[in-house]
Amino acid sequence: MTDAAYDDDATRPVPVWDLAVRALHWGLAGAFTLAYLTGEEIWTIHEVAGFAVAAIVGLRLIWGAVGGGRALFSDFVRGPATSLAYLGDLVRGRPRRYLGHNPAGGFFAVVLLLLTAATAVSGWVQAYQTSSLLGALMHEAHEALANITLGAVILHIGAAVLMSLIHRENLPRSMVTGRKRP
Amino acid sequence: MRLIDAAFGALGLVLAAGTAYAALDSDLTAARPTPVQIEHDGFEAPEGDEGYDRRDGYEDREEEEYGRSGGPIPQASAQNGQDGAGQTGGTQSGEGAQPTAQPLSLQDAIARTGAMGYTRVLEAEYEHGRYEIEALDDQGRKVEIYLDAQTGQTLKQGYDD
Repeated sequence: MTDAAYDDDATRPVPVWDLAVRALHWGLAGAFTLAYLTGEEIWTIHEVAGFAVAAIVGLRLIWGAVGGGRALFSDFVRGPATSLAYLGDLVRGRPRRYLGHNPAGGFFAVVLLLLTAATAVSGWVQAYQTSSLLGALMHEAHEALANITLGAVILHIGAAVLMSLIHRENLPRSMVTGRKRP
Repeated sequence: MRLIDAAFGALGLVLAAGTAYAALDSDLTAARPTPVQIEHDGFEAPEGDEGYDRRDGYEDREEEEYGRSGGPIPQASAQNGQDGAGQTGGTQSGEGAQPTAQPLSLQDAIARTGAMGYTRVLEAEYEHGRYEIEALDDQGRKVEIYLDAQTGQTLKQGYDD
């Protein structure tokens, strides 16, 4: 398990996720959790958390264009055919291991970013369009999107646990340290 | 830069800029209006109902519940003026009243629900400039009504699924 036992370059963990990716990942996780828990209860904190979610997603999208390496969207966004083929391999029990996101994970990262952004934007619209039907509709949409996002987050965590077990590695820890075994 | 990176990056720029603009424009950074003060309009909460808060007026984003277990809809004092001290909601002045404050009080909103023909109000709350009222119609079905707190206009009315 320890690197000392296999002290050669082939087994030493390599950097995968840069500091910005990790900070934005956990920042988004924290801000979404805070926003979800304070919804309908503590408005000031809920609003601050909502703005934080939108800002973090905005920065991640920008970083995915200019950050380089495995932060780039072009590094992990694959076509639907590739993602579905990967899921097929997963069901058959022999998925290829990817150092960055696997094709399904990359697709889901984009889904999570768009869902959290849509939740934040709909929340803002319903709060500041108080006298219109649009505001009332967004009020409903905001609640629905928040719950859909929560479901997606649970799927995301489940997938991280499953892939950690399949490839015998600790993916959540990799998102903290940024490193993975090659 | 690949096309897909550029597309997401552009979306991110729009989102980040929009967030910065919205945050600066929000209630969090702007001064809040002074809450309106209205005099008590003679409406009595049902006995033993601790869910009803007998404060006069309300504050922005404060939620109030009226009668958790449901109660009769009070007469609209603005229309009837039973005790001669009829108030026209938030526009009527108490001490420190602001003419720019919202004209429809929670009591007015509940009374308006009664005028629409609904028999019992189960829950009424103020949220983001709207009143969300849950009531029963004459057949006992649950209805959700949204009223604009500024204009009193009915924004939406529908049966709860």
